[in-house]
Order: sequence, then C-alpha cells, then structure tokens
Amino acid sequence: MSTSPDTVPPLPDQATLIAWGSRFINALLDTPGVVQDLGRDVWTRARTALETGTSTASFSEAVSKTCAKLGITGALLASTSEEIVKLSRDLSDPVIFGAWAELMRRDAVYVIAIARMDRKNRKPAPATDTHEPDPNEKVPF
Amino acid sequence: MTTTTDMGGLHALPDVHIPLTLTALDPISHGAGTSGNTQLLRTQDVVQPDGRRVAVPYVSGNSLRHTLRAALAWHLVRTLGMPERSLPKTVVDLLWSGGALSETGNQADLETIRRVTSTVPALTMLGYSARSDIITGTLWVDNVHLVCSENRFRLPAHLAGHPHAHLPGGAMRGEAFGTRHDVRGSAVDRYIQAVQDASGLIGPEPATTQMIYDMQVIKPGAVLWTTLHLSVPTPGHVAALAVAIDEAMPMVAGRRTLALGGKRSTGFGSCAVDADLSPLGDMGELRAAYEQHLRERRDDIVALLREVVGA
Repeated sequence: MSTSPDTVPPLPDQATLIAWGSRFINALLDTPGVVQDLGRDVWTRARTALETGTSTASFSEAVSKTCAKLGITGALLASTSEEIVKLSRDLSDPVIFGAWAELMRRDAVYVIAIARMDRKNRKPAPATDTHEPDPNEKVPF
Repeated sequence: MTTTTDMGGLHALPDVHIPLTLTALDPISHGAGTSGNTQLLRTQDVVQPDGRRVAVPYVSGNSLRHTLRAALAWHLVRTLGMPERSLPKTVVDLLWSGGALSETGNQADLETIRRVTSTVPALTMLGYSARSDIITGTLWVDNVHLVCSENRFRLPAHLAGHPHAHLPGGAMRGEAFGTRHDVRGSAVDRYIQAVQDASGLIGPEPATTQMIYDMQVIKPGAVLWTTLHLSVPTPGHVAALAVAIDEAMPMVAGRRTLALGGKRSTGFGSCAVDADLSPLGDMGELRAAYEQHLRERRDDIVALLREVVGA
C-alpha cells in the first residue's frame, strides 16, 4: 500500500487538544506572582488570556500574547519553558496549531474548567525535580 | 452600460454586480462581545473542504450597507438643502436606518411604493419599513471577507493567487488598545468643584476614572473582498448606487477610501478600495442626473417622505 504525499496526517482528537490547553495555561500560571497578583480573578483572567492569546498565526506568538495577557513580563521558569518546548513539538505544526487555537478560542470556558481541575488535582513537583533538559531535545522551529 | 438620465423610470435594467477589493490601511474593528476587557472580533464559522470548522473574522454586509444608506441620507438632505430641525424623527429614521413598522395590516400600498421608486430611488434601492409595509431593496451587500487560507475555497478568481491566500486568518488578527485619560493631577485640578455632603463638610475627592480598553482588530495590510449586487434595478437605483459609492468611498489622496467597521472617529477602519465601477456607467453623469432629479422634485420628495411614514 502506498501513501500519497498529499495525505494530511490526522489531527489530534479533541481530548488531546484540551489537555494541551490545560498544560499550557497551567505552565504559564506557575510563573511566580501571577496567581497571587490576579487573586480571585485568576481563572477569569486565564480564560481571557487563553481566548485572546491564541488569536494568532503561530504557537510562538500565542505564547507571547498569552503571557502578556497574564501580565507575565519577564522570562519563563525553567519548568514552564520545558513544558512549552514539549507542547511545541506538536503545536509548531501550522495545521495542528490552527486546530488547537480554534478550540481554545471557541471553548475557552470549558478548557479553563478542565485546567482548573487539573491544577487542583496535580501533585506538587518533587523537591528534587530539576527538570533536566533532554540532551536530544530540539526546538522544532 | 450606458448612462441613462431617466431617473424616475420603473423599467427593470439588467442586474449589476460590483466586486470590491479592500486593503486595510488602518486596523479594522468590528466587535462581537468581549472577553475580559478585550473586545472580540466578529467571526463567522466556516466549514472547511475537509470538514473542519473554523471561525474567521469578517465584517458584516449589514455594516457596509448601513454605511451606504447613511451616505445617501446625508447626500439627500444636502442636495435638497433641508433646514435644520425640519424632519420628523420618523423620517430621519426612514432615511438613516430604514424606518420601522408602526401600524398593523397586510395590504401593501403599491401605488405609493411605485411613487417612492420614481421620486426617491435610494429608498427602494435600500429597502425600508414604514407603517405596515416592508419594502425589499434591490441592493444586496455581501459580507466582507478576509483573504486567508481558511477562505481559500471561496476566494474570487482575481484573488485566488494572492499571497495572503496561503496565510491563516490568525496572521491577520491583531490587538489594539485605547485609553481614557483622566486629567486629574494636571493644571485643570483647580477647576474641579469640591464635593460637599449634606452637612456642608468637604467630602473625599472625586475618584479618577482612568481606563484602558483592548480590542481585537483586523491588521492593516489585510485584504478583504465583497460584492455589491443590484437585482432588477431601475435607472434611479443604478444612479443611487453610483452616488452612494461616490459618497461612502470618496477619492482621498488619489484613491477611493472607505471607512469600514467601528471606531472610525479614532483612527480605525480606513480601507483603500479597488473596484471596477464601469458596470454602473459614467459616475459623473449619473451623479449629475441624480442630483438634478432630486432638486427638481424637492417639494414632492419632502411631502412623500412624510406620507410614507404617516407623519
């Protein structure tokens, strides 16, 4: 069986796209001071940041814009950077990014609800976790 | 098409289609709700050829249609030299907004509608509601769509090869912000009246109301397209559309310019217009004939506008 070079690979399913959204927003919320500064509005602001921050043409731009919306003006934590790099393996693809961003804009309220529960249920990072980068990791753009 | 001066004729001319290509010279704002303090762009859900569903920014045809209607309303009152405060509110609504139903009933007054078409062609070109009648206009205005990859399947032929046709719509989305500047803290402070409570004591100083607002926009440089259609127009409809285009898209610095979307008074919405207007005829001749038609019937028009709305 041969595969046409024009065959478009299947897009990730909706659950995967939503999970990426949850990981994305939670990674940014790990930035010191953000949750504290936003206080009671944190999830409302996170929803706005996700909905408007993903109105871009690329994942790299979405990262910058969502950070700006959350008031993140400095560099990202090492752990956040690592998560962004992991997500970019898939989301640097324009077609996959388009599908992800579309879902983030359209269903931001739902995605943030998932992210909120994920954040509540996740285990705290072990104190010894140094987030050593994979020596073979390549940023795909 | 040859220009005709029979502005009051009721015979049906062939349909006219005027494709417009617009290039945004400034950000375009066309809002649809907010997220936080950010106004979101109005989008249209579009099903892609592969079945995916995507939301693509656009500007509604209704918005552009209103621009044309307002342009013709202003043109009419200027051409007729209407004095200030001389029109009932219902006539102003008819001219600028298309009127409203104000009576019950279902018997269309055909004779009046024909007189309106002969006397004030712009009204039946745009359509209106008055008393118990809803008159369908002969002008159809398509939505204004972005040239982008999500719209590639429906691009008109002359834009199919445009470089933007390969860019995602997200590349055309941007954000802009505005501020409301509170002048407290400047020299104007000395004019602010002290606030006294009921007992005459000086109360707390008035709060400042500085604010910032964000809005999603279509970026300058984006290319959009739409089409104006005249369906079975009369000669007066053709002339009215020519005048509407001339008024709403005036020549500014050597090119036709249109204000599209909202926040026009604060620097948004300016677009350069590229259009072949030859299907309408000679624009100068049409304008001259249309304005002559209006001036010669000034008193009839004023009376008819009142009659249409029952004022």
